[in-house]
Amino acid sequence: MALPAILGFLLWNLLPMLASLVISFTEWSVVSRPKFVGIANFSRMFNHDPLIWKSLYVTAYYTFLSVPLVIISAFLVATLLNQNVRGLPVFRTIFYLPSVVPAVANAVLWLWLFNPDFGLLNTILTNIGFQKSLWIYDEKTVIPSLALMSVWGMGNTMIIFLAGLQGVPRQLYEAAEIDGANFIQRWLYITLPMVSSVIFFNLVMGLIGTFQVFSQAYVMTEGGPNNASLFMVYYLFRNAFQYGRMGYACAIAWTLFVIVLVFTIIVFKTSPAWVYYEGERR
Amino acid sequence: MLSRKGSKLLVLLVATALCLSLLAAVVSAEKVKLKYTYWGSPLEKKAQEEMLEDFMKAYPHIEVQPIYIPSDYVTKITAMLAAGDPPDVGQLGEGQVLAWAEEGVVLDITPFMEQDPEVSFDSRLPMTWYMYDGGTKTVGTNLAVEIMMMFYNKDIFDEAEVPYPPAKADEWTWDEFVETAIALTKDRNGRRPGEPGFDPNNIDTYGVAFGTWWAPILPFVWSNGGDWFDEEGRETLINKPESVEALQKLHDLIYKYHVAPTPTQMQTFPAFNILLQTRKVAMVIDGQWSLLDLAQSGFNLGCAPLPKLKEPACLELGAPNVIFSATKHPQEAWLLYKWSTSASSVMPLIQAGLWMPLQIEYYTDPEKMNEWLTEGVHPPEYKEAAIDYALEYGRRAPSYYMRNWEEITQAISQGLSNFWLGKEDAQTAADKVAETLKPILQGRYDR
Repeated sequence: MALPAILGFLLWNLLPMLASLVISFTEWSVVSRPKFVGIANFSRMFNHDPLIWKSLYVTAYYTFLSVPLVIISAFLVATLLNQNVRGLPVFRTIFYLPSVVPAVANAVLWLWLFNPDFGLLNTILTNIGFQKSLWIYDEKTVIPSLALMSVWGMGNTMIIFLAGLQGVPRQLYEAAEIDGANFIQRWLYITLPMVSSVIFFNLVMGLIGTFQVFSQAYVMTEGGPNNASLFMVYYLFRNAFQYGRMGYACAIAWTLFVIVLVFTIIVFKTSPAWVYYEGERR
Repeated sequence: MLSRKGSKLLVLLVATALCLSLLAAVVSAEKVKLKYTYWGSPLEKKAQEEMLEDFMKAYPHIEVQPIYIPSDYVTKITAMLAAGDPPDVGQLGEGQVLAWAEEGVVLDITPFMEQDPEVSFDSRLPMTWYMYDGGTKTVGTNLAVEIMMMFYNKDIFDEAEVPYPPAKADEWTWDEFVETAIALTKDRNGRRPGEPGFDPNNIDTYGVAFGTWWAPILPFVWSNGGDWFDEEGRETLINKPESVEALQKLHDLIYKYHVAPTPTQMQTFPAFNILLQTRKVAMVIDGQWSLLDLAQSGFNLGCAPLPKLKEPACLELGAPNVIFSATKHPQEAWLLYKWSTSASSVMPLIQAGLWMPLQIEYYTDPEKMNEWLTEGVHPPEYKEAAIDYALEYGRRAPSYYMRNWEEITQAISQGLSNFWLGKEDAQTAADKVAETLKPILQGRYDR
């Protein structure tokens, strides 16, 4: 029964991955014959390409800003949407809706919101007495702006949290209530531990997904201003399809893969300290 | 088990099918099949298809399959090449063509030209040739000629009682241009820049608008006696005084005189033709190709060469048409190449204002000129403002010869982005760009 899935993985995932590993040791412009160059692509990356460091920094900055922001807001919204209020399905739909909008349409919408001269965000800022911001047009604010924008697309994370929250057994809350626990205590000692495995899942998925951020740079900023949003995957794309350096692009891809792997392992290794599974013995 | 009768029928069927396919093969063997790939707007698609149909009428033994690739062109051509099924003739981006020629993916057409005098270095504009291998080989010319120039809305000039810009290239000085732009700019209360109470944050009509990518900028650097690269293409001159001064003068249009919108304002603006038509902007600096849209936008269109800083300069650019080396029918591919780049077979696109012809005679012979100049598309001053301008001052863009061109343009646009946003002065920005360009500049294909 699992054969189609296994075949699919072998043909469409593993094989291209291995191919790209081989290509990362070559100089290849796709139209030429690949030339084996050993680790030249990797040594170029570490010694001769300042942009790769910039892109690594920018990507990490974005990830460490966006992932916690998305997880915290998704968790808070999910908690609110888990209350018994009138019109609950409507609210759930509203908060999930942005995730259904295609990435490019989303980007165009936010281009308008971010516009320093006519954008809604600056109109709000000036009305409540703040300075105008250049948002994505300033080296310093482009990454925070994009991280802010990523919160808008938290729908999927939120749904998973909601499912996790609904899986918390009611009797735990009832027992705690009888013992006199207030709302904050119940949240801290019941809700948080019970959904910690969901936080863990969302954290891992968030890290993996966010390190591969691409469309914002491709559609909105073109990596600018002054390469301040040159995400790694976008830089990889440029090398592969604009500069004709498929070998180098594959080397970047594998470097990114290793980085994401390392972070994922770190999260996994620390998880016993903060993730609680039902039926687990302490 | 099949019955006896059934199996006989099957044999018969297979035999018939085989014969038919054999017949089809024989018929198709008589016709040479070529694949032609191209990009462009729906209008270009229609015109290119008509061009190919006429070609097939002229050469009945050749059948051309048009393949229209409106987006991700390089990626798709790359995939076709990798799959062993490349096109025979087609368009190719400036950033790829010469690297591919060196790899042997694209043909050198000089052997064809030696046999066939119809295409020669003398017959087409000299700056349109893509040369490589030290300047001894060529993949051919652009598909069509394009230049950067000025377009304007005459009605805005009339209302402000400002004379139209001169159509002769060496007559329009920078100071006059700035004066004109100031006289055309108007804020919400009808005040001009420099008048007391002028509000630069609420401008109704801007004097001029221009993009900050390389093509609208570089001609002014040239005009100021500077350049971005040295003769050998190995060192940058972008931070030399001539270049920095030209950058600063363009910058002043936005931030000193307030006659041009900022890059962030431009982000929210519609296309140039709409800006001119709705009187948001009086003049725009753009490629000749935009004439197609401008002419259809229903306003009183005028055109001019770019103003000069010291000497007139005209930047010529355009993507080439090439023959792919993998073609099995080089002779027929050559016929198609010739046809697709000849002005007479793509006349609809030229008359519509999208393209300019490649052949010199269309610039010098008044009769030939009348074949393409079209009333309602080409304004009356077009002859001087575009044709004479291109012929006399036309200079090939660096995309014709610089190695790593795509990376160079990225480095320049990223390095100057803070400058165009008004947060860095020209010298600082240019110095930074010069530093990043150092490892990227690898010389020229034609040296």
